[in-house]
Amino acid sequence: MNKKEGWLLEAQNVTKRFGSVTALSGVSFQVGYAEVVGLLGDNGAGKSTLIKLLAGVHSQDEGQLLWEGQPVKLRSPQDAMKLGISTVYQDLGLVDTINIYRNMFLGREEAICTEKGPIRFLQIGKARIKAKQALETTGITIRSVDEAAAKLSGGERQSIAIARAIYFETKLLIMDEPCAALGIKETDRVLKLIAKAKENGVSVIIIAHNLHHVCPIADRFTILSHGKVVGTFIRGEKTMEELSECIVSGGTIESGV
Amino acid sequence: MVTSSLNSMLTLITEYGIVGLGVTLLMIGGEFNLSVGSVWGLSAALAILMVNAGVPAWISVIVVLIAGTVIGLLQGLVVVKMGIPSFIVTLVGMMFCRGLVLVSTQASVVTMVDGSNFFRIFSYTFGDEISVSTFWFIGTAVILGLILHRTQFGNWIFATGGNKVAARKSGVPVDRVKLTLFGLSSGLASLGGIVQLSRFGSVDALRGETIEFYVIAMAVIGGCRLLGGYGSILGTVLGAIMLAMIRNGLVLAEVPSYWFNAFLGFTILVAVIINTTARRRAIGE
Repeated sequence: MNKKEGWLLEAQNVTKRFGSVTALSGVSFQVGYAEVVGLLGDNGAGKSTLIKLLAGVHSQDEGQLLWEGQPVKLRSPQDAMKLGISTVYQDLGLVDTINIYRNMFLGREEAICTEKGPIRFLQIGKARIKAKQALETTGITIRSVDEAAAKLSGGERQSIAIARAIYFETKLLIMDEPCAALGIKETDRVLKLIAKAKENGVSVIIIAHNLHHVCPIADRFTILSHGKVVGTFIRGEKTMEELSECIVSGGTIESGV
Repeated sequence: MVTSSLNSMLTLITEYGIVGLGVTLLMIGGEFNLSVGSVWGLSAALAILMVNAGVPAWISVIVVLIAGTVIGLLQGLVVVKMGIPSFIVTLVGMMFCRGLVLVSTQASVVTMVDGSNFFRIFSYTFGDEISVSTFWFIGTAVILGLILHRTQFGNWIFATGGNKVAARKSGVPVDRVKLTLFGLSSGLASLGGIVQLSRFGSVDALRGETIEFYVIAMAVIGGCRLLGGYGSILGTVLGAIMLAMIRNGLVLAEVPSYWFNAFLGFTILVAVIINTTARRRAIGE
């Protein structure tokens, strides 16, 4: 995979207010091509607000977003999806009562449908095969794609969300606390999947407040505190202790970038 | 005895079942419609009044079906746009439409003056046994079954009822799905009312009362999850058959018909216990 120059997505001086509360003030943030960026910060630092802007859930009051160097406006999650931005939320966004292949293609049924007039008929056989393939190519083993999502473990649910993103040729995958509710083994598995996504040329933003979840795989770290960027570091530039100190103190050590 | 029993069973399955099918889809989509019984009665009353006023029967039927659908859509709008639970909104709809039935019939029996031949498309009976309306029911069940289990829209129905937030984040137009289902369930209630009107040729102020509960009973006996996201058309068809079997079984066994509700209640309880166990195995709730 040739690594392209420049940024895939860039936020320039973005400000977002909710009433009298300023959630983000003048934040600049970048993600490169096939790069994994860890977005760190304590609770209330503005991480969630920032990713909601990038996912099209909210829009910024000031500043602008650039997608592959071009200014873009994201008015809805659909706008973001069309560009190739997929978001895997903390609550995982799967529907418990329906099975895995129905979940995989939810909202994107055109991949498994034949159109007869105005009606889109699901091709169940095709859906099952494609879902299996998507899971296999990402190295995920699931007992059966006919099983209801409710029966999956936290790690399996996370895996399916990632497989779905990769299958639909996402360019930017945003993950909100992907390992928050997972055990050690499952965390390991999800981190491997993220590395795999990167190998496939996907850029990833991981939101976390636990450094151990992002340190092993992130190429860069951006630390937020009280709605402002307090530092951006390349991996290896700071020790984990220094980063951790920076998150807690809100940026008393100097940025090297 | 056997012939008339089959006939009355099919009649019950068909007329209530048509409404049950629509309500099933709406329940899978996560909402209730308690106004179907009143819409049923109102539709019959409106159709008869129009026909008696000289409007051609086929025009009356089309107008009534549209009106029934619109009543559902309006209630759906209040649910979706104002975020008021459908239980409340359709309870209001039920009272309001029942009021309209009372006003329009002046609380007395209204009989169709000139029994139009057009209504035979719902009431014609083959060899005194099988009414043509049975095929209306089967047709509706097949079409809705296909839509629910084999189309993109069906996938959206399940997702909307199963997890509204996740569905919306995945790009499913949740509000539009719900609105469509409110319109559909109400339109089918109208159709049920007209099918029954075709058989009776008259309407009274209580027409369609309690149907809202029988159709929920059908759906629940058939395995529908009350909170949405789980259920099937086949289940509701079986639920309708079960309901008719209980009623006719009691008649054949010469049990006073007063016992019907008690037996039905007991059946629902047993069915729900079985269904919950099965569902726990399937979706682990």
